[in-house]
Amino acid sequence: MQLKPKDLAAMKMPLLALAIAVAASFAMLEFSSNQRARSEKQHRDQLTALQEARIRYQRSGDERETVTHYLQTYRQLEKIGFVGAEQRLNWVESLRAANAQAGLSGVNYQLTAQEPYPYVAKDNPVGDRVRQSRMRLSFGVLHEGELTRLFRALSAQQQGLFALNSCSLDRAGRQGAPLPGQANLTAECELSWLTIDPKGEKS
Amino acid sequence: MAAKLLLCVSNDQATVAVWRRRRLLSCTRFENNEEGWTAFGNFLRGAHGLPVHIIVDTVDEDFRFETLPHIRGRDRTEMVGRKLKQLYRATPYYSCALQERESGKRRDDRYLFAAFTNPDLLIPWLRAIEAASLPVSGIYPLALVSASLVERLKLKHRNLLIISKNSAGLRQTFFKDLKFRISRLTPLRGTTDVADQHYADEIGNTRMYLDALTVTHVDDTLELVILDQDGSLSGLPSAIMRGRPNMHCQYIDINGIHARFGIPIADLEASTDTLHLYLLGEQAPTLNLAPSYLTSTYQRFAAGRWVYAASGATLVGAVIWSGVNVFQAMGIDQNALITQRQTQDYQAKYQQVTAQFPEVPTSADNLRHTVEIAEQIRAGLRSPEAMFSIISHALDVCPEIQLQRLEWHYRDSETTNAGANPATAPAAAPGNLLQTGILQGEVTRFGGNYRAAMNAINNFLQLIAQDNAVAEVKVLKLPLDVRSNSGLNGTTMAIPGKETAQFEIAVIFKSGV
Repeated sequence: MQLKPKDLAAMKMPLLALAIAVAASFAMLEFSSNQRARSEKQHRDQLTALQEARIRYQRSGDERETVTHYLQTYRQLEKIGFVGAEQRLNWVESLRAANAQAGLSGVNYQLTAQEPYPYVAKDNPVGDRVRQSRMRLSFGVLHEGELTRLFRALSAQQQGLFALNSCSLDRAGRQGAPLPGQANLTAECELSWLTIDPKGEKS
Repeated sequence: MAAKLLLCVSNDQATVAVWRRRRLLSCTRFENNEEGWTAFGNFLRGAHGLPVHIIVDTVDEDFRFETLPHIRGRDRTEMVGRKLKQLYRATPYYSCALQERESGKRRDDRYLFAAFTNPDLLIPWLRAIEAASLPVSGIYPLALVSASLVERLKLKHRNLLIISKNSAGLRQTFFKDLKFRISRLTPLRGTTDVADQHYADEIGNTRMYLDALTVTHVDDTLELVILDQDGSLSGLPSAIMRGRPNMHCQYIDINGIHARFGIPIADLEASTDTLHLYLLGEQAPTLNLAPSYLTSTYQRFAAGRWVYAASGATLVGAVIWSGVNVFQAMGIDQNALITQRQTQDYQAKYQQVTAQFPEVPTSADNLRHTVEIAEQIRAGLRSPEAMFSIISHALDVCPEIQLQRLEWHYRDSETTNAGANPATAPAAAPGNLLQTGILQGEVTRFGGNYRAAMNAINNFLQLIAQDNAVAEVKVLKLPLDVRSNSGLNGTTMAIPGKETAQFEIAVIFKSGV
């Protein structure tokens, strides 16, 4: 069968009606499908929220126990400056005090910018909130015992939690027996002052 | 079922009716003259867009069976077309239909050819239809419209003659094995008694004609079905039976027609063509004698109607589907609302319980995790004290060894091996951190005796390695490199007090120490 212009003209209105019907059908289906998908998602979210609320309520007894068990230690960590913002002033002051206590002639320090601390257990959900600020120290000591004394004194200050990363003692060309009352060794150490962000804001 | 206009045309008149919802409406008769044509034209003005189906009841018709070779496709179309043109040169109203294949060896096709031989009969009516811009669907012989009576009346007889009285006259249509064979129209006679005998004679002639053609045998019983719409054929069965014994009559009067077809009595009384108009309304015969130029408008009309129907079906389908979607969404929303209320209940209960807790700065989980991580870090803290102690002990035993430099590192094993910066190293578990030490020293009182110096260094190494905390002691540098895969140079002209026997060793502690 061959289509003639007359045939096409006669089919103009029916085809227009078909186009409108198809477009309207598509729009209706699109709208209603979206509506249904939206409702399904809302319902899924609500079910998840319900599940969480139910579990949370059921575990409220355990939660109370957790709070009772850990709160005091947590407060202590807050007090020493592990939880919360960095306390650089406290660190410097505690270093000065430790220097005096260890009887050293002076400690040079250099503090780097804060960065993530990599040596934490991966399975702990708050592990990524732990930050370190590395401090490089250089000072003279009579013998290695003074180095140990310095870090014990620093720890006893309770002004933060730090981890020693490295230390070196160098005779720096001095020969023979150690001289009393003189810095025979040059010490260089690196430690990390550690803090944790309680709100989990990533830097 | 879509509305349509049904028209029955005979030599003297035309009967028209509107077919809507399986009922005939506005059944009207028009004389075949100028006045009737004008009235018909006026009638059509009220039938906007209705397709017209036409029955023609006339003696100017031709039915014939032809046997043609069995071929298919275009060849068959061309062959049949040639045959039609050869048979019916003077009329455009012709067509054919394949009836059956013969049982002979050639298995030829048997065709029914049909035509109206007086095209002038239709001209005034078609002109009026064209003037009203109505599409013509088809033009059918009344005899072929009668064929549907076989099925409707559930007739099973091998030799069947259906007799009806229409506006054109007495129509006899013969079916052999329930298939159309012959049809005859006898014009009407005025007086009933005379007419009955006249019609009975005509039927007797038909019987003789059939016998002569050997379509029926003289001894075969012919079943006659007489459809009498106006009651004028009530005497016909007895008149027939008087003539030939081997004919059996089945008389169906107006009430019988009403009972079998459901056509209202009033409609049947309105016209003697009502029954055939009704049959055409229900189902049009396959054999359509209208030429294609006449039905082209209807083809467009039908195609348009199909497209409209498809549009409607699409829309209805979409509405139903959308309705189901919306209905389901409403159900889901309802469930979500119930879930939300349950969640709020649990949250309220939880609030009540936690109101009795001591005031906490963060969640219980955060509290626990923070304390645990602090404990973890504390447990992993190390200092160089252990290494100092081990080395001091070894130095006490080996007084000839003097250290120049001592390094202590606490970092993960990968960084220890690679020498990378721990700050940029990938995260390592606290358990993977290792203590390592680098010792640089020399042997005092050397005097150029490398063997003694090497022995002293080895002794020092062994003392360190003996400690339980030490995993491995590696020699990084010796006073004299005695390895076969490296070069060696020096001088034997030693200056006393100036020679040095320097060495460098690495101490690796066990994991967890």
